[in-house]
Amino acid sequence: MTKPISVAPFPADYVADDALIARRFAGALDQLRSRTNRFFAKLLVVQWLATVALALIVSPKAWEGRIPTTHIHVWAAIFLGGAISLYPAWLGWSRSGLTQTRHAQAAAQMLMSALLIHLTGGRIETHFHVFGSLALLALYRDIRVFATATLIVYVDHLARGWFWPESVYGVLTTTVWRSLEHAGWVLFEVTFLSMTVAASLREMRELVARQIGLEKLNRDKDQVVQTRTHELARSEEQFRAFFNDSPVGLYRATPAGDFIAVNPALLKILGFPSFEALRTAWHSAPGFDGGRAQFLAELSVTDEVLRRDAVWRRQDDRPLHIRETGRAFRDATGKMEHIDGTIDDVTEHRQLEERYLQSQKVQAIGQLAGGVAHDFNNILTVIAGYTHLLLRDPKMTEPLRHGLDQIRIAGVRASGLTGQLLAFSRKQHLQPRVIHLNAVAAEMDSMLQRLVGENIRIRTVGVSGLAAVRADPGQIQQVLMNLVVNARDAMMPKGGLLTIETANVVLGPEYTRIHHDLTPGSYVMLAVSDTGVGMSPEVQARLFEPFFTTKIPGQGTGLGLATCHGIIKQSGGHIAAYSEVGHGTTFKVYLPAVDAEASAEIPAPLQDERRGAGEMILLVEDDRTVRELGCELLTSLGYKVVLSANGLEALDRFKEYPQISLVITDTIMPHMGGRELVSRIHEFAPRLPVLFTSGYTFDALGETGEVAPGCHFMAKPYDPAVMARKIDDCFAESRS
Amino acid sequence: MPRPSHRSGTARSGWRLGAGIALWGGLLACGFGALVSYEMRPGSRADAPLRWPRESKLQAGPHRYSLVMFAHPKCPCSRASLANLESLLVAAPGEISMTICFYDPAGETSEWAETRLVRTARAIPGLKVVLDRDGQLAVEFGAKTSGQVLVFDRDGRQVFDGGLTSARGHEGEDQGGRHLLALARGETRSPLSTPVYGCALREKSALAAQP
Repeated sequence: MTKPISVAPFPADYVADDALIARRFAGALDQLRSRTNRFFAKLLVVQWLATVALALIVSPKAWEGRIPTTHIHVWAAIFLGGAISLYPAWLGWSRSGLTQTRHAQAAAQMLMSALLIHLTGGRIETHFHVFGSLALLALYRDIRVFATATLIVYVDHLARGWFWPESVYGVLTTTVWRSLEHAGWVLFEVTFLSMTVAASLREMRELVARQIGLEKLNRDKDQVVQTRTHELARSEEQFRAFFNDSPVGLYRATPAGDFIAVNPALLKILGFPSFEALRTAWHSAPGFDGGRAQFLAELSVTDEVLRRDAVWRRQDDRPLHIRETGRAFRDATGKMEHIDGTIDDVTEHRQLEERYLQSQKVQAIGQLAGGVAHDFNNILTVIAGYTHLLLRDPKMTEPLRHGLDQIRIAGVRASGLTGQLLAFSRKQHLQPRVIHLNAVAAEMDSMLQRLVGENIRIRTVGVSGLAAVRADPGQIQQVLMNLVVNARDAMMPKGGLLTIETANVVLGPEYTRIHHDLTPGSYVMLAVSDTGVGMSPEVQARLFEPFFTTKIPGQGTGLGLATCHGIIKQSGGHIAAYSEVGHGTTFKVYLPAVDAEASAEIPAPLQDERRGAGEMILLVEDDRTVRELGCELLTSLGYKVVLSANGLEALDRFKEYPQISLVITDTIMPHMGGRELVSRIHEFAPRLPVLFTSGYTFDALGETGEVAPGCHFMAKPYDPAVMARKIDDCFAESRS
Repeated sequence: MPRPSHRSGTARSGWRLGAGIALWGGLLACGFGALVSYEMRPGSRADAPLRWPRESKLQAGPHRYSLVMFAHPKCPCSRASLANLESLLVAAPGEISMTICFYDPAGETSEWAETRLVRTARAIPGLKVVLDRDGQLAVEFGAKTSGQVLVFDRDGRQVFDGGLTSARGHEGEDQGGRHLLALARGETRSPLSTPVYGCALREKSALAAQP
């Protein structure tokens, strides 16, 4: 007995319900039976043709003596065989799948057996066609078809046995049992064929059930594949967008370091218009450092991300500071397949770092200068003050006067040095005004010509309609003088042309983006150009560095350009240098343009001392020697003096002497500083004039270096003339 | 106009199909009936002599019985007769002297009668093959149909007249064969006459002139 095919149980999730299985099974069975119908249609026609051929071969003619006639078997094969086969064959093509077609074909197949048996004279061998036909009918997977076939065989045998028994049994009389015996053998085969068909149907149903399950499984898999494909495409698209849009340069390279793919950002960083251009230039361009070989070697022995900094050159030969990271990717055998990496343009970062370091350096020096300046200027104040007082003595002999004069000059130089230290560290006291740079340059023209000597010609190009700027004119004069001296030294001893030029300029975002201390807008440019030796890039890089000088020792302090830089920065401007070795240098100073009208007032030269009329002045100074010097100077200028050593004491003195008409106070003192003292005094007398003194502006007046309205400032060290003028200014303003 | 329903259309189609199949079945039944009717229609019976003709050139055999079969060399039905004769020869060896006479018409070439049937007969051991020139022997023995068998005993008396097949060209067991086997085995001595199925040995005109 046929057993069902043993297969593994199907996953429960994919077992279909019986109704669906039944529908699909019926459909599959219909298809199979339709195919079988068409098969039998062809088979019947073939058998018909074969039968005709058989008749023509075996019994083509019947004879009557010498006269032949076509044998009746030939006609039987043609017409009876045709009748047997053609109608069921037509049904098989046009009515395939129908039950009637199936049974008609089964009957035809068995009748074809009968015809063949007739044509072969009842040969026992031909009877095997019956059993072969039954086996073929099993293709229908329909047990009922066997019933039709068996019935045809039985009826044929029974009828012939009944009407012509000798043609079947060879005797004239027989019983029905002989036909039953004949049919019994047919039934014997049909029984086993039916069992096979039943088993086949069960297996077919199981296959259908599995097919349904597999289809569902495949649909689910297709869905998963579709989802995964979509996700993959999306991921790829995102990666591509990330790769193409990333501001950081990304690349994939061979183990030898040759680029396989780069993103647009990397092309932009390296300055190449296309990947092909980069690949072409990669090996020949000198800008890509050999240090990369070491980097690649390190990558080849690790799976970690490595980083390095290097200096390359862009395609246009500009230096390019890069930061490169890379990681090696390997195949299953561990062989390096490729490198994925990034290249970031850190040129701006490097410049910022350098500026920051420079700034730190300047700040450190400034702090040092500020710390020194406070006490040092007190000392210089005493030296300068007493020197002035002594020099006023008419009884002073000439040798002594000469010595004192040298002390005064040394004091002035020391004071200038301290001022420069404070200037480049941007802790200079400023007295900004609205001025025209053309006027400043014109004011200094003759002085500058004397300064540079005869073999250097100064050309001044001042644009008409130049905008005004707000700056301390004295400091701007200092800047211009430093730049001219610098130009002169660059052109010595050959001489040359020195051009001082002014212009209105507009600095756009592309410029201010590089120079972060500037904001876009209108500026006034002051340019000083020379035709000297020029500067190398290395010198340019350290140009404004304090104490950096290319001059021989003793000829320069290294503070000139640093001072210029500090003053311009403190004034809200910008200074830059452009130089080529052998062609000359241009320094450009940019100061923000202002709308206000320029003041015509240029600092007037110091005049003779003015004398007081007995006004009472409160002098607050914690340094005893300076306090005593101040008292003597003020007394000598004709003022009454009330002294205090600190703010608290001064407050008491002020309350004690309400006739005090001016307060001169140091800014940094124990217990109470000058600014707080003034604030407290102004609570009682808001309009009382104040004159601050300090050796260190920053501590006294804050970052801007500017005094509050109604207040004045007098930097230490000061001499009687300065003091007299400042006091006079205070009283004049108070009166107005 | 109302459309016929699918069900009624299917039923009508099924009815037509059933009718067609029934008609087809009837046609086939008629066809098979005609075929069987032809196969069961015997040939002309022989005017067989009751004793072995003395004047015949054909001599009786040495065995207890002498059998003479007349056959048309081109008759397809006679293949079954020859096969049954061979079966008899095998079943009763040494009891019956067998001779087969093939019709060999005058005026035809010698190849006309040299058919596969004749060659088959010559290949059967113990079977004497004679070419019956212009059917003289058939006339002498009164045979008219291919497959005609006549059996005489040792005394020359006819004991069987008929064919060895139960239908035209039908090979296998038949009444005549069973009787001859019984004779050979001594189980019976009664004469028997059976129908002969085969082609006419001679043309109808010749047969009509046959005495």
